[in-house]
Amino acid sequence: MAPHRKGGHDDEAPRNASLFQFDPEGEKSGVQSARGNDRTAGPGGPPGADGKAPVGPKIYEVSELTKLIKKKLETDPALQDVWVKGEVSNFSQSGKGHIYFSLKDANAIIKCMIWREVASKVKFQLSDGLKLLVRGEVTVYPQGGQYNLSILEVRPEGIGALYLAFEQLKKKLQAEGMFDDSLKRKLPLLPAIVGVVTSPTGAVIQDIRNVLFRRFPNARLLLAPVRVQGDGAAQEIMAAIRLMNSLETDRPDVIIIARGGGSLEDLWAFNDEQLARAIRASAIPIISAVGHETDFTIADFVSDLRAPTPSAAAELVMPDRAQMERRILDRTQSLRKELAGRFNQSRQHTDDLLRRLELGIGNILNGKREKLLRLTHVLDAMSPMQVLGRGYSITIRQATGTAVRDPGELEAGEGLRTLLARGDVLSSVISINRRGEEPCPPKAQGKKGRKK
Amino acid sequence: MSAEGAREKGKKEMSFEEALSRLENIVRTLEVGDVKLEEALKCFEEGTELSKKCLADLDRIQKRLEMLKVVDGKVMRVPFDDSGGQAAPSMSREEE
Repeated sequence: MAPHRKGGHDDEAPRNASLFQFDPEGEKSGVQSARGNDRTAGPGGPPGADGKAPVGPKIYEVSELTKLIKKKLETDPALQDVWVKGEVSNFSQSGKGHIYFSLKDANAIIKCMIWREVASKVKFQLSDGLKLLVRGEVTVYPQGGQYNLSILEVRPEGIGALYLAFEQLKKKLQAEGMFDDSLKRKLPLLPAIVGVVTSPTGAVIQDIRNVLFRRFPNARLLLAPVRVQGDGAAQEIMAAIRLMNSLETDRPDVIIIARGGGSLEDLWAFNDEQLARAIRASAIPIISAVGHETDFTIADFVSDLRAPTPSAAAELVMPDRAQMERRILDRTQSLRKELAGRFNQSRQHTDDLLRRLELGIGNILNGKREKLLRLTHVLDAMSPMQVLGRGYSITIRQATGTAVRDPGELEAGEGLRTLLARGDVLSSVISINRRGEEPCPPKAQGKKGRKK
Repeated sequence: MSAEGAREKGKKEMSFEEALSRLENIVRTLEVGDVKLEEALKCFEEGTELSKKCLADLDRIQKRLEMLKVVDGKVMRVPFDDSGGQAAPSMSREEE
């Protein structure tokens, strides 16, 4: 009849291996100290019970006096943030969601209300007879002639005291900055050794082990066996953390602190202040997995990471090997692809350049050729041979070889050579006519003196 | 060359995740483009090395299931019996 909760065997079997044996006798110390916090219900009897206006120099209106009382009560710091425990009676809930009831003990009763905003956050059902621990402030309701407790926080009593201790420690450590995100270390992506601090028996270590090896078949796990509840459990867990940190070789890269679900009392070891400090002081990152998803312990707050369950812790700690391999190979393939792409790109670029080069040179050559052709035409058009072809001729002095432009420069009898399109003719000067002058026989001597 | 040497040295101390993230960075750099061919070649070489290292890291872990045990103040590791730890010997308290 024992399999009702994970890890619940830990306190029952003396043969359990435990790293640090503590005498499990006696009360749970943490629980005890928290319970020893023996608070009784608030003020004894309500003030102003008989409600008569005092006779004396000052006569109050009822509302004036009430106002005075209200002011007195509602500004008294001792009445403004009080924890009270007691039993519920006259429970009722309004249509709007406000809750009204009385809290009583053997000798007194106090009216309580929980406004809707707070009521919606109460996680359990209130009913008559239930023992509660509440936090609230005393208020006065003038129309009803009552003082009330306006409730801000509700907890079932019994574990209420533990809650209180829990809250106080949480507040204290938080104020010290022990939960700061800046202190949280990153877990290694691939821990070569996973340290586990938990009970060697029970479902928790099996769950962790199963998940770890399923995800990473060649994982390496190092267990520090401890008791996870009862007297001395916190000290054992603490010592295990220190021991793992002190290992000189094959030190774990990460530590899972785990325990299965249980009552607040069962989980109490994980709300130990010294343990919290040991977790924070660990050089090895720590992931906590205590209780169920809804259970929070101080250990969860100080750890580098909180997992909802032990199995989840194993998942978070160990990568899936196949997936990791795929990831690496994918990247390697991308690498190849990218390089090949880069090669192709470069080749294409080179090809492209070559093509452009060829094209460019071709263009230049074509341009030159055209220009040449054009020039040749011009040249042709200007050739004297073309002129001769049209019937003109050129006359050259045989003596000087120069073309004749002015007959005046010729001498009679001088030899001339006339170039025609298809040959030349030799002749001698018979007479000379200059344009616009009478024909006359050639002079005996050249005008400009002869050249030879 | 000296940069090469430094990289070589750095590689030895590189953790798995450093290597993996470097590899992913290299791939990203290549994917974005803008890398000269020569540099791409270097990236490729380094990436290939990193990939090998990562895969080797996965293999390097040796499957083991051990339990710490303290005997007379001496820390020992003993195989942890899968089947529920029945064989676990009793431990003495230690102050390590």
